[in-house]
Amino acid sequence: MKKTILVIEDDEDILESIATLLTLHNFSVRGIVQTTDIISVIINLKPDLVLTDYILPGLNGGQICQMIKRNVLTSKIPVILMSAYHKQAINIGNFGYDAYLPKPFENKKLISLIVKLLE
Amino acid sequence: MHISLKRNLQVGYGFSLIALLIVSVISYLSVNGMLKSGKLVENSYGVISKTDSIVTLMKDAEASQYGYLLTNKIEFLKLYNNSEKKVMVLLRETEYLIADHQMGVMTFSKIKAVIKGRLSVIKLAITNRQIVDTLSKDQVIAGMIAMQTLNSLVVQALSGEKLLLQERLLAYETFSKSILTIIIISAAVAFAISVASYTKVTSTITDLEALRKILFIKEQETTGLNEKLSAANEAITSANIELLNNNTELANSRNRLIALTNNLANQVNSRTEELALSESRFRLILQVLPQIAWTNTPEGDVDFYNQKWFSYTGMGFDETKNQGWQKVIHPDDLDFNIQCFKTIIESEEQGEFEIRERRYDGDYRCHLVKMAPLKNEEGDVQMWVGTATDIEDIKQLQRQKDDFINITSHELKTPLTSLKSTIQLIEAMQGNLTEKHLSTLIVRAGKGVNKLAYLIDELLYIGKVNEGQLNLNMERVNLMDIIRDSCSGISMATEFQINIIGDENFGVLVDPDRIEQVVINLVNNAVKYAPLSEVIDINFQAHGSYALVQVTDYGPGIPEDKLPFLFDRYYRVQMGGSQHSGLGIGLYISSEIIKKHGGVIGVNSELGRGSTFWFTFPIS
Repeated sequence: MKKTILVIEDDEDILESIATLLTLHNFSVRGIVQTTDIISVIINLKPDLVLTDYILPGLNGGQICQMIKRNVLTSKIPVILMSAYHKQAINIGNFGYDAYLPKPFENKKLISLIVKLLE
Repeated sequence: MHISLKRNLQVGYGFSLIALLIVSVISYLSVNGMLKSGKLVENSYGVISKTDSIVTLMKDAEASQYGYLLTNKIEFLKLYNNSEKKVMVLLRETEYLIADHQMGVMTFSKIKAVIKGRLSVIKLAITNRQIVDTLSKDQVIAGMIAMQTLNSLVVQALSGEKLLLQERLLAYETFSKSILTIIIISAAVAFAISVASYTKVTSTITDLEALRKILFIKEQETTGLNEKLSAANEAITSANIELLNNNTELANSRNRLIALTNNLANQVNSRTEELALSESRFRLILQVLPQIAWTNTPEGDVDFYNQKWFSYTGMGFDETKNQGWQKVIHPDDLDFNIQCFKTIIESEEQGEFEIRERRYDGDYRCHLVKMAPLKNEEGDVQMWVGTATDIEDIKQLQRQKDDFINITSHELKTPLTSLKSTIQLIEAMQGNLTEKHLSTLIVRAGKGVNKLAYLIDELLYIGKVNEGQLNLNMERVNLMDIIRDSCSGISMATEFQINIIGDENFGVLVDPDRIEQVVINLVNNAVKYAPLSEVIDINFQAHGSYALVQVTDYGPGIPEDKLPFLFDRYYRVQMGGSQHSGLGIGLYISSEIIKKHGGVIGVNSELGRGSTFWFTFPIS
């Protein structure tokens, strides 16, 4: 059965690129650009992994990560936080994410990171 | 000693002389008395003897008279003649001797009268005998009576004289006796005085001898001392000469010193004046500095603030002198400030640190504090000079710049991410790609490249704006056309309803590309920051000689305190922790474009009701 990955990214071009890449690697991809009612979306979707951008309209990636990790229904879901900002520049802090992926990234690195977290 | 001796001698001789004088006077008086008494005794004896002789001679004269008368012999007359002469002599002599004796004088005058009477009788008888040659009985009787009278007078006289003699002898004896005693006493006194004087003088001489010996010894010593003194004198003389030389040298040195002192005083005065001038310049410089400035004592106490300090903090000198400045420091920064201050003071080298200081209005603002020591030639700290520069704006700008760099980097990386990912996909899927797939990927890559190009253009554009190189290409155009063109891309990409209200034929003289850029920016901001607005209204109309364009959204609105900064460079509103894509320079560039057109840009906003961004520019 295909693993479902939720991608939260406000830049549609990046979202499409990632979706194409993950589909190619046999993942089921669900992409969203808005963070409205994000926790309900996750609870309903029950993704195997969440890949989120940090800078988003509305809630940011760190806050989404915290919500996922604090909710018993979603806390087991691995979260990858990605950003074009350097870690220190945006002072990401400890939101409980499982991995940080700086943009722009190597496709191989994203895939290996996802595979590793899904094991 | 000498005075005592002299006095003793004087006193001794004085007493001796007085005693001798007294003794001499007494002796003289006694001897004189004795001699007088002796003379008187002798006189008495003479009187008695002469009286006897007179009586005898008278008897001889009587007898010779009688012999002559009886015998008529001349020989008898010779005896008579001798007697008469002698009696007369004796009478004179006796008369002389009894001159001091009244009784004797009276008696003797009677005797003398009797004798003269008898002698005259006898002489008469003798004369008569020569004539008559007779001797009468009467004559004899008369002679006998005369002789008896004489005898009785003589006896009376002699008895008187003898009594007198006895008295005189007694007196003489008295004198003789007393004179001996007096002489003995005088001799004794004289002897005693002599002995005493001798003893005293001997003793004095002994003392004198002793003194002479001492004097001799002392003289010898004195001689020795004199020799030494002479040697010392010579030494002193040579020392004196040397001293004189030294004095001369000293006087010269003193003169040189006075000259040097005067010179020094002049230098000090001139230096003091220079220093005062320098200090007043220094104070003036500190006063006109746009920063807060002060001076500290070497120990760190504040002893001067410039005017800026008082105007900035709104506090007086007494309130903030010494350690009073601590009231102005942000409580969270105070420990850090004290530590840095202490470190700099101890290091005696200049240093700096940043802290927040309270402005008169209570606002704490970041300051760069710099302190530098003023040292003397020996390297000792004389004072500290400190400045505090309000770098809040710079800090703000720095933060904005840092943010801008981060944002720019982020914004550039975002299209790069899709571009890189897409290219990697094309690489990875070589041979397995359908034409449709490839086309999609290439279009996506192209979009990424375009976004990058746009961002780079924007960056270059802001560079131009910053350098004041924004040039406008003015054209007479229709404003409605410009606004429609601006919204065409946005309308297609979003779900917003954009209403444009204005005169279809509103002609304006502008740089159409730049005004379009402004409108696009304002509409994009509305889309980005008011995502739930759904409607965006664009109005334009003439307002006097100006055109007024308004872009209104019905989003959350902008907090009032943010409004003044919206058009600042690099300023970006952050709301609810969310951030938005874009460089955050759109409003700044828009503001610069409108200013360049001679217009004004602004915003009216109300929280929960939405915002209206507007700008004006001259119609022609």
